[in-house]
Amino acid sequence: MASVHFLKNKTREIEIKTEKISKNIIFMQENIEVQKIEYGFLASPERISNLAKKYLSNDYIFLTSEYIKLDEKK
Amino acid sequence: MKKNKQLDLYFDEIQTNEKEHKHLEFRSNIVVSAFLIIFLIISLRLVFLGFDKNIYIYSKNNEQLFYERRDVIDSNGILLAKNTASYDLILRKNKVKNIDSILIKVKINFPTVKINNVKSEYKNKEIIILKRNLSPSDYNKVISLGEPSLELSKKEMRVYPQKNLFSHILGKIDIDNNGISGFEMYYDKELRDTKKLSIPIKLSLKTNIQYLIHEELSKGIKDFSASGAAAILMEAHTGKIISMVSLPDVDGNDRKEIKEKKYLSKTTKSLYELGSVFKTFTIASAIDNKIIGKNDLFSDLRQRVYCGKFPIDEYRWDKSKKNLTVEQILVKSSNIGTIEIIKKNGLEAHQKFLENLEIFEMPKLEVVELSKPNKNRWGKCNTFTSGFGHGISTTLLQLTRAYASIVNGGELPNASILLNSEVQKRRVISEKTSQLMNDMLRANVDKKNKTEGSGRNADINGYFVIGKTGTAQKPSETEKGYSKEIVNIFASAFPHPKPKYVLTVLIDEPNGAPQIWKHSRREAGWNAVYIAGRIIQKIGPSLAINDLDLVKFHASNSKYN
Repeated sequence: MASVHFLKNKTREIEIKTEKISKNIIFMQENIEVQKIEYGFLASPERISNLAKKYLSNDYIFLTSEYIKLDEKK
Repeated sequence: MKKNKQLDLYFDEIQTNEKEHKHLEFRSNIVVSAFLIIFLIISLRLVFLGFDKNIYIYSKNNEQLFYERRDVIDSNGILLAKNTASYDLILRKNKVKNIDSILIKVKINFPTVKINNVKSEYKNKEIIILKRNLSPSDYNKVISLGEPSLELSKKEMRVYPQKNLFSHILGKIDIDNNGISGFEMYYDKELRDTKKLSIPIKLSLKTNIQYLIHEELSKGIKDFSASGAAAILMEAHTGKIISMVSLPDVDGNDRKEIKEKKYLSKTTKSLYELGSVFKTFTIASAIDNKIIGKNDLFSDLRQRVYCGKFPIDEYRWDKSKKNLTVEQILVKSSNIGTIEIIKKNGLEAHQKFLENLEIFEMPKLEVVELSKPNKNRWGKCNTFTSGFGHGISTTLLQLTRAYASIVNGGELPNASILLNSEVQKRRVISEKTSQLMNDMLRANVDKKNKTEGSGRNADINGYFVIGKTGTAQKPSETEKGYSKEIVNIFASAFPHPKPKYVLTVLIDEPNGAPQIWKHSRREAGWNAVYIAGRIIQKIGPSLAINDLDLVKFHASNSKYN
């Protein structure tokens, strides 16, 4: 009977630990889900395009085939 | 006597001892049995407690977190729609001690809450929703206030991280997480499938391409002072839609109800007479029936023909439109030449061909905003006018599919926005006809062609664009007949000779743009084509990155340019 009680108490302790861990997992999962959405907003083409307009040089050129030259020395 | 007395005494003594002994034994038995009973009860209770799970074993929560609705992602895995936890701020009446002090706290911390409305609701309701979908900072404010009557109510909220980029495709959901429009409604059951909640639904759309097309269409609306615009980019061989934009649009995260007609999807819902793009089908039908050839000459074409009493005029007639080959009829967009082709092909054959292209069928796509095209009874006159896209209306989606079948080798694909859906297609014209049509459509766009085609403003170097323009008057909303407003279309594909992508661009009610062209002409060649060209220039490199064949084709042809 004493061993049953010992076993039972040990089980309870482990169960409390696993309960805490699974609650933590859910909390972290919730956080990950929020981060995914935030990443979606932050990496949206519209936002990146606006940031590029603000901080990067806008002097792009469109290369046509005339610009492509073969290096004949090689 | 003495003996007797003694005997008696002895006997008495023994008798009293036995009695006492028995009495003691009885009492000790009672005590022992009482102890035994108590011990038994305790041990039984311990045994029962040992087996009783309800008291000690914690209820096990799911280790996985699932929301009520599946995520939606694009073909590159970018998030398009997702459920997340959200909190509403509520006021519980039965916990309120001093309503005035609570309202002051609410006013200070949440200035957007209308206090007068709360006061009026407070009289009638037990629970009052003060603010929906709290931001993280608002959430923290509620926690730090520590007011027992102010509670947080947890619920789920659908978020669209790309805002309005896919709003016409994805649609919306209601407060109870039910799809009420677009893909959300069409695919509601699958999106709520409890067995698949961890698996996102993958669409064939590409966010980067969608953004580039969205941006160019928005610029186009500004440049040409148009009321709206739309575009569809489809894989020619599979019918998978890479991008589908309709403007104006709304942010999917706004929960407002939209009733204005201008927000209708111009790709799948609105019906348009699509004009001269239909000449492509008229010519394809006659070539496929081996009635005409690419270089057959139609001579003595007139400026005006009559169908009964009704006159049909040539568009911008001049002498150069008097004698035209089949290719020139397409490139110069001759209405009268097209009628002559229908006469030669036969009215019934032409009608059957359009029906076979499913121009008048209800479009099939995984959204709910679909319209069945109007199909009037076939008469002689409307068969003639249908040859150049007048008098019949359809959706941009049906036009895109039909165009895909003309350019992809002759197979009509089913349109789909699901990445892994089965590709279904059936043959409508021969491969040879398709190749001939591609060559003619290239002539309409090729800048080097002496007969200046209406699509030449979309001849982007390296992409070998093919296509046909269409300009049509819009039916009047107030009177019988047509209004002065027009709708312009450019149905294109690239790269020639084996196009992989079909791009259709529609611009609604455009005006002239003298700032670009130094004239105010407003036909498709001066707006829809120009926009399509800019789109191809922008999306071309992005498509080529993932498409080795296109890169090889582009590289092998560049030295001849």
